[in-house]
Amino acid sequence: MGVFDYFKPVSTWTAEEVSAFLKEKDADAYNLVDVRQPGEYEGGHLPGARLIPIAELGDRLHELDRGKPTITY
Amino acid sequence: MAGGINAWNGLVAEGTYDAGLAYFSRASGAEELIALSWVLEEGNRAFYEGIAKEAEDEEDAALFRSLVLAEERHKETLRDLHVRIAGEGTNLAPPAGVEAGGMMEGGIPVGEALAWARGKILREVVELAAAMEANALDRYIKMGRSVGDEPSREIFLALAAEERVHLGRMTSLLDRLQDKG
Repeated sequence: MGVFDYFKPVSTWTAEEVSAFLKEKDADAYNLVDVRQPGEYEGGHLPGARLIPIAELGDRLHELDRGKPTITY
Repeated sequence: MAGGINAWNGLVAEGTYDAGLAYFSRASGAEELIALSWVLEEGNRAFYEGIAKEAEDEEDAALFRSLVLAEERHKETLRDLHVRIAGEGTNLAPPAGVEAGGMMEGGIPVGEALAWARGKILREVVELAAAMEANALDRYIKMGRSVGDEPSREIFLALAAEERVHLGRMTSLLDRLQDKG
């Protein structure tokens, strides 16, 4: 991650927009990341979401495909 | 996603990241992975069939019979995948000690689920079915991510796409049932 990455725009989608996107796309067409804690993930998560707690995100970015859109919650 | 999980109005899967996959850890390879998936689909099918048989309302019974057919299609998809990997004439046999039809999605014994469902209103049974479908979708996406070869990955993603359609139907049905009160 370089300094210019901090200036890349990040859009915010509503839950309805996310739902519509997930319905339309194949599961391998995006990265869906739950950045909460494991206990919160266990209690309920979007189907197929990866669990990468926010504190670990910087070290685990390699697990995500940079060529695909990434949705986090 | 604005509002995070609290804003999400759709169904969610439950359990740790690999909870649904732990059951599959006994699989020694792709063939057994498929066989174990088939076992769960058969369990779901047996559950829906049991509900359909016991339903007093014909409309409810028809709904669950349609779910039986959907699970049959999933089993066929898995059987095709098994043939592709293991070859024609091979048996889709679960690993030793695993009984087909005894357990459904989430590791719930079919008999226990049917006993629980007796006396429940339709909405409660559909809620359980929807939770099962959400967990199945979760599992197939993760399995697609974890398998190494491209054909298997494609099949699991196709199964995930089918589960997503099921889930959409379940969500619509739940909305209708909740509107009715």
